[in-house]
Amino acid sequence: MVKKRSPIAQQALDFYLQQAQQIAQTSQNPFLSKVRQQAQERFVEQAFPTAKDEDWKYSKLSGFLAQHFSQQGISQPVANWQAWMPSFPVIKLVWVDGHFCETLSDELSQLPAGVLLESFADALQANTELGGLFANQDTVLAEPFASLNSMLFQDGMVLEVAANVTLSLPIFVLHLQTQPLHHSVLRQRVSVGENAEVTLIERYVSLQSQGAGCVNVVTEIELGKHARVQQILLQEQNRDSFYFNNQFIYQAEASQFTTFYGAIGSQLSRHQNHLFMDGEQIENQQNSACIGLGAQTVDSRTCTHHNQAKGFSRQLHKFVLEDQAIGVFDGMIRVDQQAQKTDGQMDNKNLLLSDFAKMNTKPKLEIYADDVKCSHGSASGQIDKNQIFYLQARGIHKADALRMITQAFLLEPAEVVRQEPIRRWVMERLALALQQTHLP
Amino acid sequence: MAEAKQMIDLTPAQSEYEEINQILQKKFNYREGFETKTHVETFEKGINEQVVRAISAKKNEPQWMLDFRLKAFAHWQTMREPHWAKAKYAPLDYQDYSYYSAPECGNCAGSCGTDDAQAIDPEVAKAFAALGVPIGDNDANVAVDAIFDSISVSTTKREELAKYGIIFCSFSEAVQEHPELVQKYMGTVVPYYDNYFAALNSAVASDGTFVYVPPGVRCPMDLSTYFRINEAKTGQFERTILVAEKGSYVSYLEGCSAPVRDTYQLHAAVVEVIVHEDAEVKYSTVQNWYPGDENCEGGILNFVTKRGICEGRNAKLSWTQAETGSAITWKYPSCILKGDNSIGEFYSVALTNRRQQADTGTKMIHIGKNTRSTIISKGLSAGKSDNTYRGEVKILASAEGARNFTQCDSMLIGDQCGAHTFPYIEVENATAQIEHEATTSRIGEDQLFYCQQRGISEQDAISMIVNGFCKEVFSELPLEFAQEAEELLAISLEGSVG
Repeated sequence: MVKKRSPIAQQALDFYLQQAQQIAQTSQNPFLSKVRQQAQERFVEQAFPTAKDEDWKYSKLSGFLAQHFSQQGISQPVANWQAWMPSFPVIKLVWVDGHFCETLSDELSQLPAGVLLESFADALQANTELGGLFANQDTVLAEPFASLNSMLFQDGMVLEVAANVTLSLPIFVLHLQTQPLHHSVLRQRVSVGENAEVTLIERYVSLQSQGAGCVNVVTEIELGKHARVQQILLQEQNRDSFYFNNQFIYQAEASQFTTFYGAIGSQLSRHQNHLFMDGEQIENQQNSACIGLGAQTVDSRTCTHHNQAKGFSRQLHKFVLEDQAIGVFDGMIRVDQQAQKTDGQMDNKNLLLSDFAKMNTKPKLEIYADDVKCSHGSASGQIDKNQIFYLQARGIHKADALRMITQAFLLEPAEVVRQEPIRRWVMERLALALQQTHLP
Repeated sequence: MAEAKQMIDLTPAQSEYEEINQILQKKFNYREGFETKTHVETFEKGINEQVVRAISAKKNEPQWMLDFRLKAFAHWQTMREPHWAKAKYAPLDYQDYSYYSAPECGNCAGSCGTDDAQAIDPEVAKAFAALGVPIGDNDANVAVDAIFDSISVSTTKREELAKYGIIFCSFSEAVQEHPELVQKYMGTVVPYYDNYFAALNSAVASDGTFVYVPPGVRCPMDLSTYFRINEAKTGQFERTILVAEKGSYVSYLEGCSAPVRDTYQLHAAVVEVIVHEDAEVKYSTVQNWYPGDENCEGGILNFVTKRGICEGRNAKLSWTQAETGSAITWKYPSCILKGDNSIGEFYSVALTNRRQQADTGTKMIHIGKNTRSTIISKGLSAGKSDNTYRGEVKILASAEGARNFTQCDSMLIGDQCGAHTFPYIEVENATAQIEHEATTSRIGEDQLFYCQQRGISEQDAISMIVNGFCKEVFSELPLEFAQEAEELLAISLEGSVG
């Protein structure tokens, strides 16, 4: 069935299809052509979702569709990249406008043994056999923006960590947008071998403080048995920009996965985890802290598939919304019939600082096994007057009290970050963002 | 509820668990499954404008009612059957149902006097007697409207109620005798274009109950409606309107059942409740439609739109439901909290067994200031069934100081079933305080062990635990209804464990 499309949606669709065709012409590899072709077919079918699509009811695309984002263009020189770097030691990798920037990144040949890192473009060039890079394409194409990504992507990251390797330094991935109306379409694939351990930090920023750019990311993370992965993602683009990220995480037996998403920037940002627990005794934690100011729409969503027994999942998602910001949380815990002894918990707490802000929450459970412990909780409201009073009674100024409470509220999900310096850095970023609120 | 009474009479000294045990031992499955054979007038299968006109003519309806039906029918034809609920079924063939069926001597709606109880077809009377519904004016302190297929056959205690100015009659009668009230309220809460099944109902509405409680009156007894679908391949499309004027109070109960059939039967009702300033309405349902055979073939498809509006300040509307029957349930009793300080409540126990599919919940729409709502939903799934809670809490920007508390608990009995929770929470006002909690669990082995250790059989222990799980909701039901609900639960659970 062909969906009804508005003229604007149709124009945007035609524009991106045309871009896809241009890219397809340059492609040499028949396998890749097939991947793109398939994605294109799916995307035409799916088209851009509208408010009538259940999953897109609250995140409106009209702002995105009104502008056409192109992958062409000349990147601005990046002068002050140090400003975006954290103070603790990391392995630094930089992408500028969606393309890997060798000059700004650390020397790849210096990477610790057992770590293979290359840009996605290089991986496409180097390999004739690409099946491994697109093994889960059927799952990926279920999301319209992932289909769009699959037909347009040109670069990204491939990271492989061999079995039993523990990376002591975190890998820091900086994505810079330097030009307005630019489309960075990124494909990231991370596979972590058995019993290996890695911390991955991703940061999305715009060089300009104004002008819309767009980032569309598909990230796939595969964890081998007993592997441990920690992911920290900060989205700090300017408030005109757009951010779409579909993460697909596949966990094998007894692996541990932790992800933290901090949403600060973008006009419309939508971050989704699709997490598949394909082995027994898997643990994971998915947290997010989202700030919405002005006319921002902040969408954070998770879909956790408990497919095998004895899985353990925890989630905490917090939103602070001001002005006319719209917050969207959508979480699904799906427990398969086989996944007995599952323990799943999902919490969503929201603080509304203005009468015009809106919060839409859908914490969902879909359960087919009987011996499970699953729960979700959600609460929305303003700051408890008693809490303010309590602090005031202890001699704290009201303005400070408000700020303290708001900050303490928002930072809680970041406590999941294990390493102290990284945690402190993440919390500083969030606290800084909170200073832009109208709190006295 | 009279059955419940009988149970009490027969076993005065026995405890709750012994009773449930007795019922379990009887091993009967759906005791309301008998069929009544009487002379009935049933329309040919199919739906078209002629049928709509014929139903209206049969009921001797005024022009405005026919216009309403035709408008709804025209709109219905432009709509598509919704399939978003978490229930799988083949699209229905609406031409394969008959849209009107009535026992022959009871179809004189409007011309019957208040003594219509005497004019009831004896077979129909027998059916209601077997179901334990008191359709004669007897001592039971409850007024009953008994509906058999497309028409209301009896409404008791009307004279007594009339003394208070309370109108309690069938919907068809209300159309004849109180057209101004029906016209004023019909379609105001659930407009004919609201959804697919509401539109269908508006077009072919059979019968239903009309209740009007005048200002300041506290209804002295419970009002009750019993719905019975008898004819095969007949749809029942009742329309119920309940109006509580300023400062009044009424408690309304409904029950339902249908004979055992081998094809799906359709039940698409619309209930509209209007609660004015300072008034309170308590609306309780024990739904026990035929769930079908082992595979839920032939059960009732229960697609119902129930909605109430708290129009004035301090109005209160409370929905309580015990859902055990139907092959598929698709039902969301809702509250529009328009008046300041108004209160909406929803208490629900939904039990599914075999291959039953229930997608039920509520909508609380907060418009007025300081409106409060409470949702307590208990879902039990057994066998190969799917039980879904789907609910929406919406706080509009105008709802300063609104409060909502939601608790959805699911229990799974067996590993072939599913329990799902899909809440939608939309908050547009910062002063609102919204809390939502949901848990899923099963009957713990240690709980069972603990009971068995104390000499309670496994079956009894399960009944105890299940009843304890549902207590919060059952305590909201009127006493006799609560009893009936507990029994139903026990029967419906039969064979799901052990």
